[in-house]
Amino acid sequence: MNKKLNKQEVRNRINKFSEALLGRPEDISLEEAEELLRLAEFDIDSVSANLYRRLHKDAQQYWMASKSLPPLLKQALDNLRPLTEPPRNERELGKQARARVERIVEAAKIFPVLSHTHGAEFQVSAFRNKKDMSKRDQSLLDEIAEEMKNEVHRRDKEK
Amino acid sequence: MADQQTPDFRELTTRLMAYGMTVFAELGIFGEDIVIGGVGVSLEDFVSKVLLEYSTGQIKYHPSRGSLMSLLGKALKNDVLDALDRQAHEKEESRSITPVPSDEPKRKSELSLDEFPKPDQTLEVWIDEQQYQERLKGALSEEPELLELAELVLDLGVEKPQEMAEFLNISIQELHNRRRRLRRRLIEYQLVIAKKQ
Repeated sequence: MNKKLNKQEVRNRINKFSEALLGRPEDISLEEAEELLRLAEFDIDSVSANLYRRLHKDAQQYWMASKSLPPLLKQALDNLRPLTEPPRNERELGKQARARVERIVEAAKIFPVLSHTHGAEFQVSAFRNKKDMSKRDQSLLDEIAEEMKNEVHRRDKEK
Repeated sequence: MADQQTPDFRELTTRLMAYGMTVFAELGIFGEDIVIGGVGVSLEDFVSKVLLEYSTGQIKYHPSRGSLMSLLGKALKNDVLDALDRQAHEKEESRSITPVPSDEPKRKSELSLDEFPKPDQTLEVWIDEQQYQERLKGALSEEPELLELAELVLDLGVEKPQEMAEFLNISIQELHNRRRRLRRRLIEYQLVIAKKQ
């Protein structure tokens, strides 16, 4: 018969299985962590902002007691400070501006159609500058240009 | 990197949240809001607690103890297990304290016994090893390579990375890749279950 394990023994066994199967905590890289959070639809910006608020609340106790903040708590507040908070200096202002630009660039990568010009701006006119062109060739090229315009409009509508 | 002496707390938060998700998924507690019911503690609460304890010096780190992520990850997992333990005790107590309709008043000795947990209350109350194994195998049943890995650990007790790689005839790098796939698979599985509930 199986021996009835006590609390610590069961915990140790589960931890051993867990480490062998899933690896150690440090095996999760930042890249993988971000991937897993996206999978579970966690927004790391809002998680960090919530955490910032909690740490800030804790920091207030130090300020109220006129004690200096533990260095790691100060650093945590700096690292987690949401970009929506008013900037305290030029460095933070720069950081916020950079983050905003990065977000716009990322959005443009995800939706490339937004960064492209649309059919309305489509121009087929280079051939018109060509000299010595017969009327027949010109009307043929006009016809092709018209067809291309229509095709571009049709594709735009499909999107 | 977050493991250096000056950690980046944003990176630590991201990695601890992800690690916490794998712990929750592994223990089958991936509810919709990722909260341990009963004790009402969310994954975010656990991560906050650990980071607060670390940043205020309650958890002390020294590089000789391994990586910072390892230290904080283990602290987080212990907190999750403690919360599950508390939840199990609360359930157990509410079951044992539920008054049985009776006209007779309880004797003094019975009343005092109610205040203490039962002597044979073990961790099996909240986590049964067989259930743990079945849950993991069930989650991996459609992924033969991952299931093979789970059976190697759970059924044959092979736990050292080198031995595992040799047994499966794969490189250590491939073992790490499979573990990474396994972490993701467990979370996906628990998310599907949570949506069905």
